[in-house]
Amino acid sequence: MAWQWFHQLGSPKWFYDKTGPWLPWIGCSAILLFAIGIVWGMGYAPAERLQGNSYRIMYVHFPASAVSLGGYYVMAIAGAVGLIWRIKMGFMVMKSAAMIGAVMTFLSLATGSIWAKPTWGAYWVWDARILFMLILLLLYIGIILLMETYRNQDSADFMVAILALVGTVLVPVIYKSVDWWYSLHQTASIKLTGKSAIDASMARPLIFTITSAYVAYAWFVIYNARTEVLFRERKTKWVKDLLAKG
Amino acid sequence: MHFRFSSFSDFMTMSGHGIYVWSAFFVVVASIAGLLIFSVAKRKKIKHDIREYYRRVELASQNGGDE
Repeated sequence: MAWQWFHQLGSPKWFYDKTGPWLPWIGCSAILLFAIGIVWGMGYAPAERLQGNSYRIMYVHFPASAVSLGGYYVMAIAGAVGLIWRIKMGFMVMKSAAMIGAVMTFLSLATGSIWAKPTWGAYWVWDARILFMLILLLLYIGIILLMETYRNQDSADFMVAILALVGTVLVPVIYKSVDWWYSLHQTASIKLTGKSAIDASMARPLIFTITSAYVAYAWFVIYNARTEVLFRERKTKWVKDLLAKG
Repeated sequence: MHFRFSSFSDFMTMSGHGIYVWSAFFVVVASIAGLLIFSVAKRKKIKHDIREYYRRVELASQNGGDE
């Protein structure tokens, strides 16, 4: 059955049992990919012609930025799955995705700010993309806070999923902001089609750190969603048996 | 492909940019490690709270109450 996996994944017990053994592998590959990308990017990639070595911040800035945007979609889609198919697992994934998404957005702003000092001369500049990233961070924080506001779980899930879905308009705006407004940020250097504006010797280690960020993102989403499963399913027999074992 | 710095201290200072590059790196590693510790602690707390909850329910049922 083509849709069977979808409904199985929607079962909290199935999700909990299935994803448990994945976590060590996901975690180890995230660390390994990050280590390769960082050593390569920091030590072996050539210095940039104009920026010198400060451009190496890219190897942490770009992955955090990519995941903060890509991860927002994961969170919103998980919320939509919960709303449309009434799959509770969707809300649990949405909730766990908000936390790591907020951290990644904060890291994008923090590393960008550190990079801005030697490159643009100030830690903070009023640039369209930076401003929208700040709004994205506030949106993530708003979502996390909204979840704690409601006493009723269903109302919280519903409202947060709606807010997350409304917020998706921000993601393409951030992505296109460098083209729409005059900006200190450069336009996209890496293109899926056509020639990238970044040399392969610099891009290859970046691929490793970006992949590691997505893998680490998956680890945090799954780990925290499993915690949420335990909490929400605490009245079921299987959680009771599981916790009785120790 | 070769190592781009002449020594370890050169790798750390990166001709003046090292402070920015390594502090950005440190912020990322520290934040992710912090979230990791937070997540593991939260799992522990939730497990503890659920066991507390089971104990309370059991006590209540022993006392004849319906929780």
